[in-house]
Amino acid sequence: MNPIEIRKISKRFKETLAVDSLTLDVKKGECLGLLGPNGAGKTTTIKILTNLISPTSGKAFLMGIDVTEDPRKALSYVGAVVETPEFYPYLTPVEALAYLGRIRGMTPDHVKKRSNDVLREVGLTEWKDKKIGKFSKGMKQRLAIGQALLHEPEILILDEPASGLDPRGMVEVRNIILNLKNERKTIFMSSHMLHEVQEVCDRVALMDRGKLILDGGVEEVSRRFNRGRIEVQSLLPLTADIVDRIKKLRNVSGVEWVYTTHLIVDVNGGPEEFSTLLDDIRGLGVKITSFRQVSDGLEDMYMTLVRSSL
Amino acid sequence: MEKILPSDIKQLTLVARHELFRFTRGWRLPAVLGIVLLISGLIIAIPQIMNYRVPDDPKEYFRTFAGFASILALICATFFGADAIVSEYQNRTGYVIFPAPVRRETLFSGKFIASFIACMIALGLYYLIGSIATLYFTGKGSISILQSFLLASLYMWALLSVAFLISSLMKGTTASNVLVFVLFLMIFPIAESMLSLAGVEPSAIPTYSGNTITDILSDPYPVTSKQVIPIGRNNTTMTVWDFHPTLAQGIGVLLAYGITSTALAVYIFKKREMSG
Repeated sequence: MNPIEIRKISKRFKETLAVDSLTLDVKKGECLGLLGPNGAGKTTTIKILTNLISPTSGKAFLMGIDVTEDPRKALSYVGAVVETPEFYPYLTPVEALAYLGRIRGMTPDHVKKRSNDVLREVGLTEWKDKKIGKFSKGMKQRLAIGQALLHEPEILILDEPASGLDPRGMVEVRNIILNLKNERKTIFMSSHMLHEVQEVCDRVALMDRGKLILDGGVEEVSRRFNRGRIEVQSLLPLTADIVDRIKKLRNVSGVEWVYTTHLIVDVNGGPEEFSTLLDDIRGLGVKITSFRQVSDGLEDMYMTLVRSSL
Repeated sequence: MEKILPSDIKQLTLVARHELFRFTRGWRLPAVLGIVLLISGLIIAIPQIMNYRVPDDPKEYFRTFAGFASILALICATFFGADAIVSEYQNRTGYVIFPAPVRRETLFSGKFIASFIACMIALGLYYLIGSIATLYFTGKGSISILQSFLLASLYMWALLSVAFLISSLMKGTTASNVLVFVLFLMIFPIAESMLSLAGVEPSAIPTYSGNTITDILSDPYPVTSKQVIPIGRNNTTMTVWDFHPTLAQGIGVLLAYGITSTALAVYIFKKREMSG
């Protein structure tokens, strides 16, 4: 039994099929990053897992318990941040956490101790007795992460956890997730930020228009899309003849002549092929002043997806 | 490792306590209590200031108080019930509480109990002030005041149930508040008047059943009567009905509204999705 098991889940909103027969498992201690552009079905999947909506068909299990059949028991193992949640504005973080902790069966002493711990972890200690109504979006997001961690759940379901945070907050959230990973927590997080997923997750799943189009380990997927874009700058202006000859070089799948001295070359392969390309271009008599990878295959594929959804 | 959750009853108590705590933090409970003090003060003070004759009969004196009880019930139901459910969706607070391991029925019941307690605090205070004033000005009390209070409590419960039903159905808090208020302040009373004019007893209208709150203070308890009034020249007449619900009828209709609305509201809340 895996902590998270999604079996052929579909969700239809009137004419729109938001999730289309999605099957996905997350193993114990694994961090899965669910990637996809807006409207891909990431949040809908997370909402099904957290019983905020029901699937049109299919089943979702948390620790082997059907979320739709017995949500109370299934959700007892879960800490979740879905969308950008709001808290009652005239409560303080301590009061909000006390309520949520007690609902989950924590004793008042345990809630108090854990509240202090999580508020420190999310950087809200100074604000613990201030009314939430005065908080910024980022601070509310930190509190949302705090409430998800409060009861030390086995499973964390995070919907764009860094959403609304400033760059420092994003780094802090990433570190929190990395710490949770070290504690062998099972993490299912959605994001539209590829680098975030690459940095913290072991596995990546890509969704587009409700369908799962890719699923695998981050390294494995990167290998599968083993190609990259190389930005090449020459000292002297390039000629059409030289550009044509570069197009015909080994492993080159495309060339974009951006400026007289500036090319973007699509290369099939990894570092070895990039090195060969460098030698080959120099072999054509081009004096190279800069040669650097601007994106990898996974990013290319992701960006294509994002562009196609706009 | 299996998680041990609190019982449903324990969770219900926690939800109810939390909701009551929220009411004390917000403006609504103080506002309703302010309205209670203001209205009772006016009812007591105006006859003294204007030198009106104060009735000797406690039931007659208290009838003025009871006349406002149904409006107070409406204000309370609007403040504490009309947006109780819809606000979780509109204000996105549901994203925090709905993924918690607590049944929707438990959440609903906890919220309802807290709202009912808040309403009863206001109604109880109002009746207490009215009873003390009655005792002070007439030197007597009456069991009918207690009966009126029980009927007002039943009316409050039925009204709160309808408010929760509307709250479960609506998409916005403002629309929900307005609908509850307009329904009981205008639509039901207008329907009641139209039916009465047509000679049909408005038995199914809850505001009509709410008339038992004041009727119980009449001695004897009023019964339905009609009066035939001649109009025009050609022996044309018009029948004017004065309908009064019997106690059993009033209680029955209010119970029916309360039970049906609560059951429907729980069902809708349980099925309602947090989408959008």
